[in-house]
Amino acid sequence: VTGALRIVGNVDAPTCVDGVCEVPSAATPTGDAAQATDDETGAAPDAG
Amino acid sequence: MSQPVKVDIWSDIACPWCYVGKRRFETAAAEFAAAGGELEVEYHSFELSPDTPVDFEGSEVDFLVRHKRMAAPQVEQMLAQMTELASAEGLSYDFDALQHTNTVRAHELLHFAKSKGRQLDLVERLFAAYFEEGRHVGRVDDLADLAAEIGLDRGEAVEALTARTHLPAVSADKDQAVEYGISGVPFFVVDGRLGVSGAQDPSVFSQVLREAAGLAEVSS
Repeated sequence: VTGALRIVGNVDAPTCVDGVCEVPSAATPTGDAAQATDDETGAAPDAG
Repeated sequence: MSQPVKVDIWSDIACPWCYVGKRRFETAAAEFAAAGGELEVEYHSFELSPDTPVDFEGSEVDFLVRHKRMAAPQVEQMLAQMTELASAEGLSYDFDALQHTNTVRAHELLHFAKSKGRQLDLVERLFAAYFEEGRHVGRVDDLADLAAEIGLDRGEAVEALTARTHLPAVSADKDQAVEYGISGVPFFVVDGRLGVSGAQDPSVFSQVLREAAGLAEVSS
C-alpha cells in the first residue's frame, strides 16, 4: 500500500526516478534509480 | 458502467517511460471504451529533476554523466535501448536532438491547458516536441508556440507563464504525489484508490480499469 492507495499490477514495471530511467537488461544502473527490471509476467518491456 | 472511471496520471515531460506508458495506457483505454466504458483522465505534475537549469548546455548523455554520475558508455547503451523500446510503441525518440531542460513551466502550461479543457492535447504535443522533435520545452516563448500549435491562445499562454499563474497548481500536484508516496513516474491512480506504477503492459491497465468499473477483480 502506498498512502491511501492499493498498489496493483506489476511492481517491477519500469519508471523514472530522480531524473534517471531504468531500462530492462541495461548495464547495472547507477545513481538513485538502480532498479533493473526483468520479470516474467510480460508486464515489463522486452529490451529485445 | 454509468460512472466514468477517473484516472489521475503523475508524469513528467522529461520522462521517456511516461510517454511509453501513455501509449500503453491509451491502448487499454481504447479497449475499455470499445467495451462501453467511460474514462476521465487528468495529468498531474511531477518533476524528476527540478534542479535542471532551463538552458542546460549539453546532450542527454552529458546530463546523465554530469548530474547523475553515470558512465558515458552505460548512458549511451541505455538511451539506445530506450529508443528501441519506444519504437515498439510507435514513438521515434531522438536523444541526439533532445534539449534537456527544466520542466516546471511545461507543467504550468499543462495546468493552463487544463483550464481551457485542452490538457490531453497539450500532453501529447509536449511529449512529441521533447522526445521526437528536439523542441525546447522550458522557455516561455517555445512553450507558447507549442500551445498555439494546438489552438490555444498564444498571448494568454505567455501571460500565464510569465505571471506564474499556475505554479501553485504544480506545487499542489507535487504535494499530492508526496502524500501518495509516489517516488517514480509514470504513476496512475485509478478511481482514487488503486495505484499503478510504471509503464505497465496494456493488459495490466485493462485489468485495473475493469476492476475500477466493477467488472473484474485485481490482485495486488
